[in-house]
Amino acid sequence: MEKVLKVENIIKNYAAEKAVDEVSFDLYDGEILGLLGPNGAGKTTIIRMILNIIAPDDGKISFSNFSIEDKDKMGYLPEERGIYKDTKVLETIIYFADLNNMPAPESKEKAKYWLKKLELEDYANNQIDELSKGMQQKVQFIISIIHNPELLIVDELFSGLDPVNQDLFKSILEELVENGMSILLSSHRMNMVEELCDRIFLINKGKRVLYGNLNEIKNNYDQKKVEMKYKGNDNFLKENINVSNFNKKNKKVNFYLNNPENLNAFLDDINEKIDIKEISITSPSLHDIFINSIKGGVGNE
Amino acid sequence: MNNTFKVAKWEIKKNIRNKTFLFMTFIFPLLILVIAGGAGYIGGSSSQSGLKIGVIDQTDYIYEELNQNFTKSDITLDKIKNTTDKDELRNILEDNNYDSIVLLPSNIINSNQATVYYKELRGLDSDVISKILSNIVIKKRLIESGYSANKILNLTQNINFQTQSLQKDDTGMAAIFLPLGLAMLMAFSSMFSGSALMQSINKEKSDKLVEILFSSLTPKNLMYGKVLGYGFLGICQVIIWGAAGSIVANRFFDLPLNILFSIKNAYMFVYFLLGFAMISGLNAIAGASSKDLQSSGQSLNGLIVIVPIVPVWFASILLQNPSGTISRILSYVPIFTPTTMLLRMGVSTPPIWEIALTTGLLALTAFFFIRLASKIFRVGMLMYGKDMSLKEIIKWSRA
Repeated sequence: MEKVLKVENIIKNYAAEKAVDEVSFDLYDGEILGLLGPNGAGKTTIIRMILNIIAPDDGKISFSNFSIEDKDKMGYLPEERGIYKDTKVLETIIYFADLNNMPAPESKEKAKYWLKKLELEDYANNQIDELSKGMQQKVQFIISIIHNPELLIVDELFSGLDPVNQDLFKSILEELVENGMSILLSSHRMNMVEELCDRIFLINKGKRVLYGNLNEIKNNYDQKKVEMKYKGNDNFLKENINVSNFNKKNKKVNFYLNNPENLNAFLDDINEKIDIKEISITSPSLHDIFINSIKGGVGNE
Repeated sequence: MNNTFKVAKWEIKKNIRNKTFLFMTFIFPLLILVIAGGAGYIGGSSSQSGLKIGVIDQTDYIYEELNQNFTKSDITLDKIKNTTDKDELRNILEDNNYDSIVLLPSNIINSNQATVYYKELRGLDSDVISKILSNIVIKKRLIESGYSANKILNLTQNINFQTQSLQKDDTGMAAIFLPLGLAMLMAFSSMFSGSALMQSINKEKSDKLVEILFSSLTPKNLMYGKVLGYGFLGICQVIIWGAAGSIVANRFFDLPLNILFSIKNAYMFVYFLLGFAMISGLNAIAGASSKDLQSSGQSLNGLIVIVPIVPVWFASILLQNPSGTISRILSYVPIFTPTTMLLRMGVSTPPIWEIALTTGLLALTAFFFIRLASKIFRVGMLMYGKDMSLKEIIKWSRA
């Protein structure tokens, strides 16, 4: 698959602190790559470097079809949702399209298409500060895609949206990708990332923690999540070196089992010692992987 | 179209609808026009213009001659019926909208008395009439006594003063007030537009708009576009204010307009443009390096915006002694140059070498500040929630 974006060993230092430390990843044509990480991990710095707002101290960022100077090939919805308050919806969208070199007649037509799609067609001539927060977010989204960018970067698209609108935006992203757009999606909504992204890049403290196909990451993850109900003395479980995050609530326990390749031996062992009523052994969710990785749990480099 | 021009166009479009801008640009000069016009009207009505006077001529011969004296003036005389009844006189006055009624008694030649009936008496009006009336009566007496009236009147004519100034290129009051007014206009306009520019930059920063803007254009494009846009608005403002001022000056104070198009005013315009560029640079630095509007007004950065208007504090010295030591010193400090030179040029014409030198220094400084601003802009605009320290400003300006 063609690599739309290639990030190679980029480094960015702020004072003595390394905000981004030798980060590399690729974004393929027509995919949604999840860019994950806790607050302050360096995601926004990476995004700003891709958008050529700031320059990396070292490393290289390149695009297959355009140069980093071609800002009109990229669209960006920042997490910091800023927008002009005292201008009208349609004219503001057209202004940003114009900045991205889209001629006015075309941008007007496209703006109307998107306003209709996002149920804002009646507000085209309203001042932006007359709109609700959710509506303003929709306008910002239109601004980021109006000029048909090849690469779209969306930061926390789903925050502040109700479930109906979350689904609406999810389907729009899928549609955009189908039409050939490549998307870098930065989000804390793990469920949305799981639903939308085939691949993820997880960063913490400026460094790569996890990178690759989400299913492979999950399958290869050297922990399984175990939930069970049972009768008997569970002290042996707490003492087992392969068990971590042991958590007991009412008559139910959940814990992570390390070294899941010895699953059969483990099952035999507990079957002898306690009376199992219910048990489920699953691959951890992205949410679990995220928390484990960030808390210094077992990584998967 | 280059993104700089797109930004400039957008800023112009946005601000042209802004209430503060509209008020400052149109209502403010309109108010001045109305006030000046009102003053002119009040002043005008205290002179003889538009007077309507009823005349009761009991002599039967004075009216004709009197009327001839006023055919080319604003004063209209009507001969009215002979009466001394006050109620009737009041009715005549009111019905015909007369300002007053003058009764010329049949024995006026000997009695030296005439009567003016009025509702509101205006001194000057009766003065003018009394003067002309006196002339007519004196002439009549001279003729009746057998003298050559015209000859004697010619010989006894009063002397009129005609004033003429010896100042170079002088057109009287216009030479002082018009350029000075223009200087003040330019100084104020660059102050207003400069602070509007700072506010707009700071608002985009505190509204977190920069990030989305920087993803579409370079910080340089954004800053230059803003400076250009607000510069254009400032110039429009000066032209509109200047036009309104000139109308007032011309219409109500009889000052000629041709002095607006002098070489001196062209120099002044250059100071204005360069001064505007420099102040814009300073304002851009202040706007981009402070976290919000309150702090950009209070911090050290706010101070640098005030600095260019410091010469106004010395205005009385500058105007009294435009070529004195203080005036010269202030002229050579680039941040003070535009205001100082505009004020100086309002009342005098500095030597050409001084104009050239100060213009050169100012141009260099303006260029330096704009460059500095565009360097600080990129970093400062993305530094939310925190004022930039002077140390940081210096650091990033070197980057």
